[in-house]
Amino acid sequence: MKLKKKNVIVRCAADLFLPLAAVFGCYVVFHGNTSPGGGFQGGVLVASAILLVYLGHGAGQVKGSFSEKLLHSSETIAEIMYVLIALLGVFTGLNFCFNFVLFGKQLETSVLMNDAVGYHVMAGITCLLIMMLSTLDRGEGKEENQREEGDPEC
Amino acid sequence: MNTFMQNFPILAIMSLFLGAFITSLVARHSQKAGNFISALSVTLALGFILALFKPVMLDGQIITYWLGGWEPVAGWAIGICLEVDALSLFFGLIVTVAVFVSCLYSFTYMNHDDALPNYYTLFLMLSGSVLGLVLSGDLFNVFVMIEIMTFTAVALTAFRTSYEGALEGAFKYLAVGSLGSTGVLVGIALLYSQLHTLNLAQIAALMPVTQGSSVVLAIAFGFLFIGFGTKAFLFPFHPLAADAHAVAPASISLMISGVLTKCGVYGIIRLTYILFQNANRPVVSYLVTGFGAVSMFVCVTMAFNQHNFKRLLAFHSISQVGYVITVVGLSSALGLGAGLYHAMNHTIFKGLLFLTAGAVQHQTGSLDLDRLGGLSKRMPKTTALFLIGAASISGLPPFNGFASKWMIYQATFNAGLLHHNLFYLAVCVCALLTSVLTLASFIKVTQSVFFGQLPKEYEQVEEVPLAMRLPMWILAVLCVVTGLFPSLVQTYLLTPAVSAIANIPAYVDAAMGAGYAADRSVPGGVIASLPVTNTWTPTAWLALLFSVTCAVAIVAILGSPKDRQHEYISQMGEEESAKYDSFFSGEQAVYSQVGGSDLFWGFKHNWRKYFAVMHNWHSGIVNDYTLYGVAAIAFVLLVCVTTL
Repeated sequence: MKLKKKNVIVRCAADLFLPLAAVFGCYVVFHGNTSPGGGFQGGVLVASAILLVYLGHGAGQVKGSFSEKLLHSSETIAEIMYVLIALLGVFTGLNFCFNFVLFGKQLETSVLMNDAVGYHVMAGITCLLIMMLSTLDRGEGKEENQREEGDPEC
Repeated sequence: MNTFMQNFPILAIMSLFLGAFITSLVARHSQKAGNFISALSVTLALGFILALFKPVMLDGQIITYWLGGWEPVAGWAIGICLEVDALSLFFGLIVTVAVFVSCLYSFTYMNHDDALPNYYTLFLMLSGSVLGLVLSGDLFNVFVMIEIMTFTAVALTAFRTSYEGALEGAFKYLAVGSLGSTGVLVGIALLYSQLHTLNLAQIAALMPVTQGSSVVLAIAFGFLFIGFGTKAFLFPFHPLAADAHAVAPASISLMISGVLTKCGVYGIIRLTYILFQNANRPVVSYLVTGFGAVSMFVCVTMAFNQHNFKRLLAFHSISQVGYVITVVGLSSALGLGAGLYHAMNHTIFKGLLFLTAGAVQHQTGSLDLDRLGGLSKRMPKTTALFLIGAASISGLPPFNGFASKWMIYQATFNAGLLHHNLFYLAVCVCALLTSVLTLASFIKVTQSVFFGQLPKEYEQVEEVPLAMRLPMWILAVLCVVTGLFPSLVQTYLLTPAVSAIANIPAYVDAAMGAGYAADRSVPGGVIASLPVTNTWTPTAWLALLFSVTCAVAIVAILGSPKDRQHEYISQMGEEESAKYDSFFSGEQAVYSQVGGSDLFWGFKHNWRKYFAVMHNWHSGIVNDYTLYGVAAIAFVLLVCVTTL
C-alpha cells in the first residue's frame, strides 16, 4: 500500500504538539499525588500522542514507530508493579495499599502506585488505539485494493 | 489468630489477580511456565481460604480488613474494606475449590486450543473477581467485581469461536447480563443517595431507621434483587445460561454454573438478610420463593426437551439454583441451611457433570444426545463418574443431593405448616416434582450417551487421560463425602454460616467498631440462630407422603385418557416440528436412537400444550430476552413500590 503524504501543515502541527502532549502527560502522571489529574488522566494524555502520529504521518508510520508486543508487555508489567507495590504494605506489617514512606523522604508508595497506574494506562490505551487504527487501516486498504482491481476495467 | 492472618483474604484475591498478570506475560514465551503460574496461584488462593477456616468457621471470628488502613472515622466508613464472616467464607470455599478443579482440568482439556495465554489470564481474572465479590465488605466493590466477572465470563464463553453459535451466545450473555449489572449500579446509586455510605455493615446498621419511610429504598431493593437475580440466571433470564453453556468450554461451564450463579445467590442472601433485613416480610418471602420456584420448575421441564448434552445440563443448573433461591426466601434457619447446603452440593455435582460432558466432547467431538450412544463400552471410567454426578443431582441416597434436597423439602414443608400457608406447601410439591423430573431427565441422558447402541463412528473412542479424570474424581469424592456425613457439614459449615447471617450486630460491630450496632439499636437478625438440624418427624413424613400423592394425582389428572388414540396420531406430527427446532431443543437430528430422546414421549405428549408455549417463548432472539428482562425489572419494581 502506498503511503499517502499528509498536508505539510498537519504534519508540522503534529510534530510540534507531540512532545508537548507527551511531556504534559508525564507531568500529570508524576504530579498526580499533589495536583489535579493522576495516573489515569496522565496516561491517557501520553497515549494521545499516538493519535498525533497517526494524523500527521499516517497509519504506516504508527506501525513503524510503536511495537504492539512491547506495549502489551509494558501493560502487564505495570499491573504487576502496582500489585507488588501494594503488597509491600502487607509484608511490612501494614495493610494492603497502605501509603508509607519507602526510602528517605521523597518516595511514598502511593506515588509509585500512581506512576504504575500511569504507565499501565499509557500502554493500555496506546494498545487499544493501535487496534482501532489498524481496523481503520484495513478498511482503507480494502477500498484501495478494490479500486486497483477496478482500474484495468476502466 | 495471629495478626498476619488478617491479610489472608486480600492475599487470596491478589494471588489470583497477580497470577493472571504474570501468566499473560510468561505464557507467551512458554506455555508450561504459564500453566505452572496458573496452578500455583489457584493453589495459593485455595490455601489462604482454607487457612481462614479455623478462625472464621470454628472460632466464629469476623475478619475485617481496611485497604490502605483507611478505617472508619467518627462512625462513617469511607475506606474500602473486606469483611469475611462465615457466610462469605462459605462461598469463598465453594469458589476456590471450583476454581482449583476447573484449572486442573483445563491443562489437558484445553491443550489443543490456541491463544491459551488469553484463556488463563481471563480465567484467573474471573476467579479473582468472584472471590473478591464474596469477600468484599463494600457495595461498590461488589459492583466492580460483578462487572469484571461478567466481561471475563462473556469473553471466555466465546473463547472457542469455531463453535457454531459461540459469538451469538456470548452476545446474548453480554446484552442481557448488562441489564443485570445496570440494575445493581442503579440500586447502589439509590442506596447511596439515601444512606450516604457504601459499606455493607454501615448500610445494615442504618437501614432499619430509614426503611419503611422511603420509597427510594424500596426501589433500590428491587433493582439490586433483580440485578443479583440476573447473575444467578433466575427465571426470565435462564435462556442466557443455556445459550452460553452450550458453547463455552466445559471448564468455563463449571465456572458459570458452579461459581457465577453462586455469586447471585450470595448477593440475594446478603441483600435480604443483612442489608435490608426484610427477608421475614411476607412480600419479600413470596417474591424470592416465587422466583426460585418458577425457575426450578420451568427449567427442569425445558431440560427435558434438550438434545444437546450441555444445554440440558445448563437448564438443570438453573433449576438447582432455583431450589436454593426457593428455600432462601423462607427466612428460616432450616431453609437457609438447606439453601447453603444445596448451593455447595450443586457446585460439586454440576461441576462433575459438566466435566464429564467436556470429556465426552473432548473424545468424540459431539454433544448431540441423538448421535452419541453406548460410550460406556469405550469410556467406562467417565461413565462411572457421570453416574455418581447424575445420582447426586437426582437426589438419590447416599449422595449429597439427597441430603440437601431432604432438607429443602423439610424447610418448605415446615414453612407451610408454621404459617398455615398453602403457597409453601405448593412449593414443596413443586420441589418434589422437579426432583422426579430431574431423575427422569438424567435417565434419558445416561441412556442416550453412555448406554444403548454404540454408533460406528465412535468405535475407536478412547478413555480420557488421567489428568482429566483426576479433577473429576476430586468432585466425585466430595459428592460422596458430603452426602455420607451431612451432620459434619452441618456442624462445621452450615451452622456457622447461618449463625453469621442471624447475628447482624456482630457483622456491623466488626467493621464499624464495638458498640456501633448497640448505639443504633440494630435488631438481632431476621432469623433465630437455631442449630441447623436434619430433623426427622413422623407426622411431617406422613404429610410429605400425602403431598407426593397429590403430586402424582395432579400428573394423573393431567394425563387422563380422553380419545388418546386420536391425539397420539396428531401429536406425532406436532412434536416432530417442535423437537427439531434449534433454540428449543437443538439441531435437527437425522439419526435418532431408539429410547434416547423419546424415552419419555408419553409424558411429553401429555404436556404438549405447555411445551408449545415454552417453545414459542424461547425464541432465541436477544431482543425478546432483553424484553423479558425489562418486564421482570418492571414487575419487581411494581411489587416493591406498592408493598414495601
